[in-house]
Amino acid sequence: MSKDLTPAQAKALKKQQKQAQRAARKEQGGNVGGAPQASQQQHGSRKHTAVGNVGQSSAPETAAPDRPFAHLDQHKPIVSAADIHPAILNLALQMRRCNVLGSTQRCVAMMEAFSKVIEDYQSPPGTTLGRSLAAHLSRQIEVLKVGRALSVSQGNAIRWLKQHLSAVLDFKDVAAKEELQLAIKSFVRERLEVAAKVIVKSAGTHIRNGDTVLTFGHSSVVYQTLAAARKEGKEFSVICVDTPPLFEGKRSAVELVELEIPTSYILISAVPYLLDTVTTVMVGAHAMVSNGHLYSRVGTSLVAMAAFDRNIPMLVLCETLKFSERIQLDAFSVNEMIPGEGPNSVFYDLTDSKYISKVITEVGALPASSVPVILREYKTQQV
Amino acid sequence: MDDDMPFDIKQTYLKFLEEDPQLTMPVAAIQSLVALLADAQPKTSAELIEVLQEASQTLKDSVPNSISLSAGSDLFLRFVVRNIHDYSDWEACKRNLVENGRTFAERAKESRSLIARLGLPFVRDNDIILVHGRSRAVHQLLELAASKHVRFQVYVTEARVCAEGQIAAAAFRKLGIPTCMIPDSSVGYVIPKVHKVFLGAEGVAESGGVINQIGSSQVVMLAHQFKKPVFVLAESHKFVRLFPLSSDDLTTETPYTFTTTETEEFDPANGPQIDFTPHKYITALITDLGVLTPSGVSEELIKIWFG
Repeated sequence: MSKDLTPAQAKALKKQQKQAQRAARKEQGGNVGGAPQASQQQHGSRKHTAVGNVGQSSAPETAAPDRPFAHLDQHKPIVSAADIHPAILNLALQMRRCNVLGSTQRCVAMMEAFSKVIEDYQSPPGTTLGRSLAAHLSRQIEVLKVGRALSVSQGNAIRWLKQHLSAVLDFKDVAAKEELQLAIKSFVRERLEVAAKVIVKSAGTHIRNGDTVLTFGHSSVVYQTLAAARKEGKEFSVICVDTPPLFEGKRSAVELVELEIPTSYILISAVPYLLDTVTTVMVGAHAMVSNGHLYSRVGTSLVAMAAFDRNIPMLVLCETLKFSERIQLDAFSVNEMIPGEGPNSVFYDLTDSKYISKVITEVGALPASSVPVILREYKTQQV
Repeated sequence: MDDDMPFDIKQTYLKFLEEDPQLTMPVAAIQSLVALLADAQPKTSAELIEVLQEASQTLKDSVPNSISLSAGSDLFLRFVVRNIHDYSDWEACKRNLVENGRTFAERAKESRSLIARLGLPFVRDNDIILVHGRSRAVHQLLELAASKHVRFQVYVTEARVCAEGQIAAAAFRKLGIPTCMIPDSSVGYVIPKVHKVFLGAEGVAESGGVINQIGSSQVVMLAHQFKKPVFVLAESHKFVRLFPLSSDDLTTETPYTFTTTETEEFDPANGPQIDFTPHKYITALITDLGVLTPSGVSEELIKIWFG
């Protein structure tokens, strides 16, 4: 394969290889601690076997047993340009540092940033906002993507926004700005806020007095459901399951304790031990992929399998904005590295649809196998 | 109907059921709502929807087990809400709703014979079939099979608490089908010899799980354990927008209670009358829309509600 490359391509490739090598060495050195020498040697010997694969992946490695995620994109430094809006740059950094975390929160923050971009946008002379904004937005999105790969919800929202741009093609700039900002606001309200309310109502029927709900990490819609049930005066307790390195469950636990809900906080390794007391498992989603599997925070699938083993219902609370047309069979081919957390830390895992009792969305509660039906029905409606 | 008397939706509903023993609860509910439409004089579409919503709620509250009924009334409400804006002329709209409501009820009645035709290939010579309780759809299918000279035998469970097994068994024998009554506790005894299980349904949940006379779920689970196919016969108007995860998710139930004193005589009729069978135990649903896998039900439901 390398024979077919032009000199420029070969040069770029070599540079890329070197960078990846350097990055890998740095990570290993930092995290393995005790045995940097040995791992570097291993690393060096593997390089020879990996050359044939170089063309397809950004890092020059095949998956080795100890580095199964070497093929995933490495995080690049966030570089700004003159036309990048500060709100976008800020969000890209916040996402990279995991200060803005969670599919819903990221999507809302992105839409707010877009609103600011539109507010401050000056269309170049000789063209209108409706015609020139798309390219400008694309450049902003590129920067966001460097910060972190777009979430499924963000991707769907961007697709909607780009479609909606055609509605303001013939508007004057001021009117177009107003219309787009309003549309963004109502999109977020409809697809996330109202959707969450509907989901909360439906999921709430699964919480009864005396129940113990187990939840994993942090999900805004699960939190809202528990809060609503508490407000209705239901007496139940919650087990917050957490896992390194992000420890999002801490946030859940703190929020729930503030509501005076009896809450236990455990690490994922203690799940089987406490599972007998659990009546329902409720988790949020990063995405539901179209073969009915759940793509969510790493650890979810372990919790789901443990619950399935004891016949405990596993509910996924998911707005349809997080439905993806993608078909995914494992968490290796598509995933994302957690920035600064070493070579084996990824954000997501995949939960088989057979472990999911029910997916609760704003258009109803469905078996996981019905995800493609929703996607199809929505698509035919939009056309 | 007496002009002085206000329209009573519950009485109308019960009258429909009494007059026609072949009528199922969802269809009777739809017919009652159609009758209400003809009687009430709503001035605006909003008023019409309000009247219908109120009546269907009254109806649901007035019977102890409203699942089957609500399948019909919800479907009709959906039908009205969807069609109401298609007419500019209010009178025409109302007339059309009444007419369509009637065709709907007619079609719903016909669907049982369609189910029998679709289900016929599933009844084969030398089959031993297990039936739980009484179901008009199952009756019609076995009647058709017997009339086509298919030779098969039927176990009928007693199906306590409703105890309608007796009636079902008598009806099968009348058709010349060799029938054996068994108590519910003997299902485990006969199941190894059974070839397939046929069930009716009170309602079919969004997952393809089935809400049916109590005892169904244990019969089905035994069948599943012995790898016997389970076929559920249900008209598509029994598809409900419910998704229970277990029997105690069904809202109409009176739960069993624990006591340490002999407070009252043991009466099984005080307990729940229906239970829920999860979709994973069901082989196929034979409906008027065709033979569906359980996941096909949610597809059809989504089509009805969002299409």
